[in-house]
Amino acid sequence: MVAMGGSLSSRPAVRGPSRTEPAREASALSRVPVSVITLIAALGVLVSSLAYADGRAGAGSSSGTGVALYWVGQVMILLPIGGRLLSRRQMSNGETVTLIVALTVAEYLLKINYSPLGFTFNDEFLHYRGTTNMLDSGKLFEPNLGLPIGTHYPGIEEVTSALISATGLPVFESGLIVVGVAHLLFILFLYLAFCVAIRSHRIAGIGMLIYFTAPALTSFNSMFVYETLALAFLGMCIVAALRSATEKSLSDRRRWFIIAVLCILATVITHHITSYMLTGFLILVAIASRLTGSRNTAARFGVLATISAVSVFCWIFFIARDTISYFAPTVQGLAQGLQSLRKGGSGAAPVTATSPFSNTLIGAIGILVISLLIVVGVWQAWRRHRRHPWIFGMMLGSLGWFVDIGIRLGTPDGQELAGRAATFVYIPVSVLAALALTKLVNSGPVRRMGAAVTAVILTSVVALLVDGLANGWPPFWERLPGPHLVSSFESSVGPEEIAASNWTLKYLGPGNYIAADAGTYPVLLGYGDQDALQVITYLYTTPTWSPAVAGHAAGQNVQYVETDTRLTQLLPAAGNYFPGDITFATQKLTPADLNKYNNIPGVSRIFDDGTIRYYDLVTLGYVPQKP
Amino acid sequence: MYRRSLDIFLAGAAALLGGAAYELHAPGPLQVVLGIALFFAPGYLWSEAILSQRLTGLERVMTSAGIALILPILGGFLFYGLKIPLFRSSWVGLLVVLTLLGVVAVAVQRLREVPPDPRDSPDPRGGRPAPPRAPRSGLSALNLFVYGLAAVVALGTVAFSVKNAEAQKYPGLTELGMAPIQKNVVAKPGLPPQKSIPTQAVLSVINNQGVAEEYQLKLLKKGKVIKTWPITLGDGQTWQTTIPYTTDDKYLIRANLYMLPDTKTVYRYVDNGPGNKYTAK
Repeated sequence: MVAMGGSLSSRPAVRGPSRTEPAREASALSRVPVSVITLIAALGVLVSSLAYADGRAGAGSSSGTGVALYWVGQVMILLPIGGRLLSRRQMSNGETVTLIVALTVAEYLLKINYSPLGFTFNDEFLHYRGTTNMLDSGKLFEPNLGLPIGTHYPGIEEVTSALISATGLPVFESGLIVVGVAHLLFILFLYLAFCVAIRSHRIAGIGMLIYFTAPALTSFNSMFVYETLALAFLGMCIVAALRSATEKSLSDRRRWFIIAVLCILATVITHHITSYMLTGFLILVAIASRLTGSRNTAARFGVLATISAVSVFCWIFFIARDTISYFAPTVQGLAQGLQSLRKGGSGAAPVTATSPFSNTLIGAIGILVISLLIVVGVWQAWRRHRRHPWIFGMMLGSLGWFVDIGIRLGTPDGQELAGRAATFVYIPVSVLAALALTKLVNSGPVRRMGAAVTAVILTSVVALLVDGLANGWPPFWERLPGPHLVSSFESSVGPEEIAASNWTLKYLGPGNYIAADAGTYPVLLGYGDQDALQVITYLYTTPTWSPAVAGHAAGQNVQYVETDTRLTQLLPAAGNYFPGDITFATQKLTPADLNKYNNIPGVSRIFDDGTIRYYDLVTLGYVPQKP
Repeated sequence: MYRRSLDIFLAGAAALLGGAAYELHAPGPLQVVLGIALFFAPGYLWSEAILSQRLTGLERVMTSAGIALILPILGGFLFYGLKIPLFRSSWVGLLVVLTLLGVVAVAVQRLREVPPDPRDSPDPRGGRPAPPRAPRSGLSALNLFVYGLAAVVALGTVAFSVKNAEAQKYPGLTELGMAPIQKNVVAKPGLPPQKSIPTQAVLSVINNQGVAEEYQLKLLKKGKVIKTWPITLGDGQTWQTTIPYTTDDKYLIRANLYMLPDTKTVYRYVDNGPGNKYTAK
């Protein structure tokens, strides 16, 4: 399966399960054929999909039965697969791959089944718009009002456009195919990389199981977004780089090197952060190889890291200069947060929608367990594999976990940033945690105590996987699809919002400055191709039109205002009514806050569907100054 | 020779058929199947051309799919450099050309190929001992049946979810719009498009009630009805017309929509906004 020549593979393989001491009894799951486990996972998808149907029937995530059914389905997926991967019973590489594929596909199908008729996850709208613009204009770097930075990273739009052109499929179906293939490739390439480096498909399989505990993996990293595609190239590049260092023949090493370079270029064109992480990863392994005396590997990875760094620099300098301004606020926020954390104060991370205590508790336990596993894994790696460049590199990389925790606890938007960073941080973490778990499962006391301890370990791993899902996306209040919720991400996207957004594009043209609530905002960006505005709460919080409001609106060049009567009936589950607003809404808007636009001389009411209305502030002269 | 080249012939044929399906506007399902083959064919061929060594089936599938995703990105960028617009025909042409070039590259590669070094062979008869193999599980007919059943159940959940989502109850809606017809004057960077003063507007009614509906639309100027339209629309249908429009704040233009049989209660209204001086009756 994997090449074993070269300097990396000349290192001793990571020790597999010891057979000197027979196990008293493996877990019951270890005797179940992989095909049956795959069938159970498919039935788990069915059960969770039935839960989605229960949510759509009217109660949404407040349906206790539906939510329970959802988690039963998830446990049906996670428990058998986790149990089989963790079991001491020997499995072929093919069986391990089958289980990993089954887990990936099952979770991806659940993502599709959540919104099977069209994109509803907010970031997906932005790439829907990018793809549509590319197909309509035939140009590569067409402006994307919702994601200006994405204009300069058009990889996913290019691939999807090519597939749409070849098949005639719509953007949604083509996007599902592209990200489905990319997501599965990423997982499998990562598994291959673990296999090449660790030389044990069992430990690699356990590593992948741990990797599935990353919060964004089954949600954000399988959405129609540019990072999903770039991750596939990152995974492929890691494998190609390892193979270019380990293959026996010079010709083969060169060929894998070409693949690695192609992957680097595709990553740089597709997604900024992933290309930086890839560069960092290549540098990390190069340094680790140098420190462990593997000069050949160090040289290969060093050259690839240089190519990657130069490509990133050239792309930013010649194509995507706005990348710097895009990241500047995030970097500043991170620096300030970490600085205040260092000084012993609070990072002033704003409170987001309050999770249930169970989610918070399981999240905290998850951090503790992973941290412990890292410590044990580092100890194991240092004792047995400190001359192994890859594992040494992973030891260094796993320090990122503690930085990730610092970001999570100490910086504004820390929760989201840490969740996004986890995709990369969990790669070394998974390797070390897998070493620790393998050691634990194979240790004498555990083997003597038999199935009971195995069950405890399996339960802990499944709890970690559940933690990843519970604290990932969608959040608890929209765990199931259901009725419309105001200003609340996916739960606010329905046929009405899409139809109203399509109306703006058809009758007003693209690029207008529109103020809208947080629910309609992403739909206007995506389907409407409008320049929906942020920080517009002031337009909705006064019962009358005052000169101050008018002046503020004129300053922001607001052309149209959207209102939605449902904003007066419900509080937003996500916490804020309007995009860019960071204060929690504690009171519903009043009808007068919205209806004032009917009575302002000079403001036209240009659209009405009974719930959503658009008002034109500018056509009769600019924003009226008199109340 | 024939057997060694069969994959090249198949991939080349897939590309040509995929291109032909696009040109001849083949029926939907056929174009989807051939289009997917056309999309992945270049990846397989270039994977064979670059990585001519023996890979396992899984590795070959993965590298082929990976390269299939990379090629449109690099190809699109090349087209951008050559100033070739990236319309559908260009993408299809790119995939066909990449496939045909791949056919040539693999053919040349195989003609030049030297016999594999027996030392590289995992065959025990070669110089290197084969790595220990894990016991093969073997795909029995029963296993295959169970895998097939799992696939049917998994794909069935998607079909079920599509039907379920389509059946989800949403309140029906009717959209009434009065959009001034304006030309975009060239906008400065960082500013919204500046618009010309409108003299006409598009009055539109869109029925998304889920069933056919009958409406009555009244156009009022300064509070007096100047035009009435009876409108019958099937679900998803749009009615629209162009009307004179003014930005003079002395002239209120207002459109009242009634859903029949109720002609008393205004169901929706839009206006040009001089104020709320005239209450619709």
